[in-house]
Amino acid sequence: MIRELLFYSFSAIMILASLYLLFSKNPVKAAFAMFVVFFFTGLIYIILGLHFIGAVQIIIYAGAIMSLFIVALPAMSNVEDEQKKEEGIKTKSLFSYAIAFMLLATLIPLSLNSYRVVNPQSFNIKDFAMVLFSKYWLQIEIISMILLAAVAAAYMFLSVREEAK
Amino acid sequence: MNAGNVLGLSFILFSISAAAFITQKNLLITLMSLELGLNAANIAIVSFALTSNKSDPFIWIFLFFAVAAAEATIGLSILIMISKKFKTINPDKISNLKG
Amino acid sequence: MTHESYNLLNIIIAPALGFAIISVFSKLLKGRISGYIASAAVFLSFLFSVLAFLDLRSFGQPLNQKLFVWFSAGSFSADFSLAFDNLSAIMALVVTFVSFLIHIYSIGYMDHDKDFNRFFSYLNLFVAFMLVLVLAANPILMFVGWEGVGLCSYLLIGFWYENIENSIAGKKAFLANRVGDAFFITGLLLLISALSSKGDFSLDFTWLKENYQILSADKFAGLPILSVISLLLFLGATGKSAQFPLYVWLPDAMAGPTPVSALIHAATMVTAGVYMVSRLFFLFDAAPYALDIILYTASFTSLMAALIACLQTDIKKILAYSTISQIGYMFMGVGAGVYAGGFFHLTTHAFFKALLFLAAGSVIHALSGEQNIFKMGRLKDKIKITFILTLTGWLAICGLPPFSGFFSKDFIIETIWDSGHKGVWFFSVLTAGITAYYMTRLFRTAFLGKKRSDYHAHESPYIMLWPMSILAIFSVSLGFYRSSFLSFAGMNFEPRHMPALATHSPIIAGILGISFAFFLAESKFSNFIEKTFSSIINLVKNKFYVDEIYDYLVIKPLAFFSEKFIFSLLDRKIIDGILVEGLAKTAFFTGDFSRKIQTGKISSYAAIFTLAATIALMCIIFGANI
Repeated sequence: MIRELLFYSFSAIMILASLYLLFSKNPVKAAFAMFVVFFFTGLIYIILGLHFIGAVQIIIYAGAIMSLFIVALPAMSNVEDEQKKEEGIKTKSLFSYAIAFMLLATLIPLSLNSYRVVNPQSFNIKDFAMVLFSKYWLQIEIISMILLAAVAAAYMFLSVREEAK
Repeated sequence: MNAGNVLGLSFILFSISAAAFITQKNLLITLMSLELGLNAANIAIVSFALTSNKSDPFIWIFLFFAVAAAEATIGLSILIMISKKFKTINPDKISNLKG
Repeated sequence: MTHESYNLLNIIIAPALGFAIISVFSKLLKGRISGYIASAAVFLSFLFSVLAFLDLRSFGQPLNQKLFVWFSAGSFSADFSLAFDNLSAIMALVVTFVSFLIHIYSIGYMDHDKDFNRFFSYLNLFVAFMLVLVLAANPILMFVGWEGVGLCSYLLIGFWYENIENSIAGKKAFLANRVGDAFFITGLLLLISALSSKGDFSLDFTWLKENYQILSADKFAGLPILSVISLLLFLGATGKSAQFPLYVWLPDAMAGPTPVSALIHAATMVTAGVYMVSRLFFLFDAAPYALDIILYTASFTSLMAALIACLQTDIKKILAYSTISQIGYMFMGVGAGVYAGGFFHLTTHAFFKALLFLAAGSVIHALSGEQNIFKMGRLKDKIKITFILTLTGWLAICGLPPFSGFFSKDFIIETIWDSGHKGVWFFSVLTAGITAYYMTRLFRTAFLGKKRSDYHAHESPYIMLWPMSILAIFSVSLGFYRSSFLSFAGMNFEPRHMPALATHSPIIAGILGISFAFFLAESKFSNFIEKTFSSIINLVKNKFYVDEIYDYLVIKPLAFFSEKFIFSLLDRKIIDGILVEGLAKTAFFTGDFSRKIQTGKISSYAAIFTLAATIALMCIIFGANI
């Protein structure tokens, strides 16, 4: 009961925050909205009984990825200022919103059809670890490769000096 | 409380992320919407994980975390490079591919 | 048949080869060489015809030669096959012989013309096509020759095309022919469709002759189908043979050189219609009313043309209307039921009309281009030989014995009496008298009397006189071979029992006509007639306004329709505007529009991507079959 209430309120906040992200023009404010979404996602996971995953969500998403974005913000300081003029709703953006709405309308019936009850105690860390390090060992190695490649690529991208003109 | 609710939340977030991706005039915010989208996909997997007996879906969630982080890294690096080259992060202005 | 018959193709190949050689090597052939080549080609053709004729006589049966299958559809096939029976033998001999004489004549007549070579190539081409028409074994191949001679007629009438009047006359001839051809084709198609519903058939004349009865009971739009077919074929013949209603091109065709008029429009092409009708005579005979229609039309044409000829002033135009009138006689012979009589008149007419035309050409040549008979006069002193030759032709056409014209024309008139159409008989006798009148008028005005204008005349060279002499000999002597001719052409000549008045009336009419013409030379009486009958005379002088009626009823609406509707609307607006330009504009705008999809902006690409993904998802989720 409380769980449901919390779930609905958290999800409402998340949706509002993402809508804010949709319409905002300021990257800083959008970053805050993003943080809200990530954080509350983690909270929802915790409500649903997945403590571990919720914690990992907050650590990785709201922690690491947000930091990435925060660090990237001042790196674009040489950018010219955006136009402050408020543009009206154009047909092109209306068309885009329509596409997104169509996507939503396509997917919603799926969610309406599932009636499985959630079992909060379904997460067992021991079983999880056993499966992770036995069956999904290859995927773990690949993941580490990906992360390594990401670091190396990021370093390579950002260490390119500007050629003297 | 059923998995349908969680799935619906995931879909709504995903649609909003798609809309933001299409309409945003700031490339950085576009990338943020991409992260949101990945997050929404994550929530969907969680909903499936909640209704299954196995541990496999949980593992997928972890893999998604890692992938999202790697993707954010690369995306931001490229974004910084673009901002250095084109001096703007308005995607409408970067139209060298215009035919 | 197993008889190794004479190769009929040679008859056609000789002039065709002549045409090819002269037209290809036209630049190299200087002087008169092309004329000799052309004449030799036609002479070879004549020789081959004689050989084929002898072969025919010895064999006793018609010769056949199938060359190749032209096209076939289902069980029906149109072959390129030649046949040589009695009728085609006569036609081939006459055509090649008269053509040969006229070729020789033309060497002299066209001597100083700058287009000497082109003239002879066209003449040879014409002879080739005419022989295709004559020797064809089925109507489809005959139609090839039919159209071919129409083409050559157009080319030769408009020979001096720098003068636009000649081109217009050639065009008129071709178009009138074309209208006739349309009727011919329609009749042919009707025949083919009627036959095809009866089972297997072939279009050979021999097959048709044996099997045409299967169509006797069929009807087309309520009329017997044989009659409809015959009427359509006859209308086609009127176009080619210049009968009413499609005769209007022949007087204008006199714009061509005189040898052309002699060959094509007196002796050969215009007789093609008579030949075709004689070939298919069994069809016309079996069809109710067909022969009667031919008879009435022909007699009407004959009388009308004779009346118009009475008041013409151009020597060639008089002869043109005379040709129309005489062909009417040939058709009257066919219509009365004895086509051999019409055929005999065709043969004698070929000789004396060609003679008359060549003589007219000789006169025109002598007077350096003058064609108005009222500017001639007293020519008998200046050009004696031409005078004697013209005298022969004149007496032949007036139907006085012992010239050939008497024998042939008399036979036809007797046949008409025998067939029971007394009214037509009366008109045919009347026409004979009028014929005598206007020919005498021509002869008198041009050769006798006093000199009417200041002219200089010199006799034509011998190369022109010799062919005329040979034609004159035939005009005199051919009549005596009537009975053998008629039996060869398929009909036996029986003496008739007719009232004495009826037998002698054509001669009487002829003599009356001649004397009336001489009588009218006295100016007082002619002035009197002119005053009292002035309105009728005006009508006749203007050729009964037939050309004007055609112009008003047919040509003006057609020109208006084609100009306003077809040209402006259909051609300009629809085809040029909508189809051609519209196609180009569509391509342009499509490209222009499609170009705009490539914006270079990520967001629009992403939008389209999302849209596509959404649609794919839709299909998967809602179960549609992609």
